[in-house]
Amino acid sequence: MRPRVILRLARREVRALFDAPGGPLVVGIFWLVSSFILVAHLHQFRVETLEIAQSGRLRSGPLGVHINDAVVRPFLLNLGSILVFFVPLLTMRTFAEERRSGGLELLLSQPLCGAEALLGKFLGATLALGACLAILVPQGVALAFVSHPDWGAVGAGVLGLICLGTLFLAVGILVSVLSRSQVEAAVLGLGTLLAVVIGPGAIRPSGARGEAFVEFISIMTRFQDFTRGVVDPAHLLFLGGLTLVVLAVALRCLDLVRWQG
Amino acid sequence: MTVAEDRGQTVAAGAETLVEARNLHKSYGPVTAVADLSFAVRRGEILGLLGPNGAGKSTALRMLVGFQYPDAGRVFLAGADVLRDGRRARASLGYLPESVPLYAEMPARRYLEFFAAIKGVRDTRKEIARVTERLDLSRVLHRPCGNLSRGYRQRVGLAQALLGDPAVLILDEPTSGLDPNQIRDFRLLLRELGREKAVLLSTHILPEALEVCDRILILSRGRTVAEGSPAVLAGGDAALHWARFRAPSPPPPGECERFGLVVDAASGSDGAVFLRVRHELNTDEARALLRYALDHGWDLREWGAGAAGLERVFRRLTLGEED
Repeated sequence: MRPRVILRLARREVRALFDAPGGPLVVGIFWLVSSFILVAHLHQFRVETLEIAQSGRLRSGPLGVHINDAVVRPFLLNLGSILVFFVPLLTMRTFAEERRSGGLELLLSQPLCGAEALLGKFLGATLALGACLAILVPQGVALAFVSHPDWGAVGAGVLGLICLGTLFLAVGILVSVLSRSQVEAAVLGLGTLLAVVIGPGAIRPSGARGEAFVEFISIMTRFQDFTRGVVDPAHLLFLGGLTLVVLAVALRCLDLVRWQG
Repeated sequence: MTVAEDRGQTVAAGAETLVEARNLHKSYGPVTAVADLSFAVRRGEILGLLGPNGAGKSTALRMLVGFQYPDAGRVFLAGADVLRDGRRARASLGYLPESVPLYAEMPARRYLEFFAAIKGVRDTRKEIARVTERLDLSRVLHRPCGNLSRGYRQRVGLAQALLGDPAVLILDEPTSGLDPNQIRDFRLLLRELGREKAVLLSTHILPEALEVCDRILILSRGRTVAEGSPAVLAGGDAALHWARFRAPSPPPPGECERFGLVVDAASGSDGAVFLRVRHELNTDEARALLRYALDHGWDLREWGAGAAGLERVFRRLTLGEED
């Protein structure tokens, strides 16, 4: 595996995304939507604290409601949910578009292995996700101006969001490998991610073992722990491991595509 | 020097085999795309892969470049097994697919830089200067690939294939979409490249195969139905000539019959007519016809040799048509 080749592929992915009008549009919309959600939560927080102050229920602590619980946590949970819709837009072209245009044929006839191609595209998509999440920096600065959040818990939540996002990217890339067009990849990616996120919650297990299993496979339950400020190594291992497993499946599927033609 | 004159070269005996396909087989469900395909291309040789649509040419090329895996059989490029040692095998390969997939938003220079980096070219700037000078691309390097004309797109694709000076070139329909001048330039370039490299050329254009290739392999329904030099496949020199004349008046029916001539059209009020030979002529018939035409003051309007014979063979082998 040659890191230089992987980086070069990643660079091309990012450039391809941002040279086309769709890429900046996706990032711009993500920034707008996330900022709107943050402002809405901050507004709600302000209203609630004013109501508490006016009702005289102010007892222990400065306001009785902490900004992490009232704003940061629901904000990050919402961001986790909207990634389900945005990530397929970042990954849809990675393989599906190359396959449609014949670019994949040319790329895989170069002296590189499938894993390099896959990791290059995954890294490129991760950088594009990074561009989306970069809005968290000015949003954090804005938050610091209006309140005093627990930055440790915020950091844990952001770490969870990054883990969740990279797992979603791996799923999006897997779907793109199996798709023949960008639209197909976007729609299938959205459907798959919705199933991944909503699926475990829809299962009604009977018995403690069943409940434990559903909790174990529930990605969002683990993400919720991150947003509470809990960085559980088991969660990191689970999300990171699952991302690697999905990428390995994508690599195998890329091989299958080459067998099937 | 014309391309035809340049074709005088022969592949050195014992030249290194750079492309070797052994018993390749590929099926898509019940449909056999390629069956038991074996051939080799040596350094300094241009092999033409001919066949009608659906004959399995593209599948064969995709297996050769390692994009598709064969169900059975092996491919070696410069001695390296494409399946087992793919990266080393493809390091000696330059490939131009039929569709020339360029990244539309990317300027041509950046496109070439990208592929130079992937190929591990050390001095990217120098290498890009070399291939762009050879293909006369310097003027368009700053333009996005999506804004280039078909001819330039084809040349950028070829420049990509030439990066790193690979020993093996595999080109799928490289002249489709080019104008006649570009086709001629391209064929000259191909002959030049064919002196040093092993070139595998997939084409539908029979005159092109005849003009450029040292050897031709005809595929039909995934199988090799003929292989040999263009002259041998076309039946030697014996059936390769065709012609068109302008005669001051229609020749007697007997002469028409003798030379297989038919009247194409009248050329004006002076009674002159255009004549063409109905079937290709062998060398003796062609010589006799030329002598007759000269004696009777006919103007020679068109003369050709070669492809008609190959075309007949091609049709017979791929469609089962008789002469």
